Amino acid sequence: MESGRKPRSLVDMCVQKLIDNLRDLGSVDGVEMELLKRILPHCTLAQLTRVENRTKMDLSPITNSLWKRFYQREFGEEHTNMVIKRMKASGGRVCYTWRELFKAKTEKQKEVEDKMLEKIAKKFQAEKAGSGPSSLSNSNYKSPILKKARIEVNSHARLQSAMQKNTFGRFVP
Amino acid sequence: MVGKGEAPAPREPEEEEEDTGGVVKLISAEGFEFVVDKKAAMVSNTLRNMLTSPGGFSETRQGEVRFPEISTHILEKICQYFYWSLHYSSGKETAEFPIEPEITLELMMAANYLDT
Repeated sequence: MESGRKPRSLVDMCVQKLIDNLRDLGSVDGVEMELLKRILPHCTLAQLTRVENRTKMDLSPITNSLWKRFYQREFGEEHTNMVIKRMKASGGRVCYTWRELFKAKTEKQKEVEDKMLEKIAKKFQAEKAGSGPSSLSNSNYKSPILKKARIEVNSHARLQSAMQKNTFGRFVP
Repeated sequence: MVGKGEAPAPREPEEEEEDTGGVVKLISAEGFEFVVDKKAAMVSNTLRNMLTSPGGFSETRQGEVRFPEISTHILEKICQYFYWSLHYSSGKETAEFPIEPEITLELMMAANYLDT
């Protein structure tokens, strides 16, 4: 006080420390909402997912707007606006948090993806009974039918990986 | 600053009011006692209010404050911060105050309660 240097408050230091180490943050049960408001907006999608999964108390008053931002980024502005319109049209009967919407949308996309994969696998097995799908690429089949099958499978695989890159980049391990 | 059995001699409350001299005993959830200078304790706004409010809180009149929700290792860190803060203000300290990542969350909650 004599030299006029003002030390940072311990709360501020801790908040900064937590922001610097968000990758280690788990449950935040018992922490004041006012403090969480300063910390959670710095979370990435994966970090926020982990914190909310491990925390028993409802963080949605703080995280809803953060999830909306993630939703917009993942699924596009246009789609997000459509969702908002739909919820408004329901007159408040349908009201989900953006976290729930994000989860539902992600699961739906995964379902579509799985179905497509299944279809490809079935198709391949039908055409090449007996052998596993491990030799889909880099194979040296001479038969024209098998060659065609291989090309189809490869193009499906390319489509698949393109889809994953576009929409699931952050989720697929 | 740390230790048991260093309780200040009981004084009349009138004497202690508006007084930054002397010591105060902070007691953790586990019952461990930290005896700190009043000047240091007053880095915490919560403690400052307790120690300076007219009439005083019953616990501060006895020169001790109990924190049933603050565990010993956190209260120890808080006391270290009080002294760091004093030294920093007076220019005697230039290093950052070290905070171990594993106690940060708990420390923040306690610091928030103590308004420091």
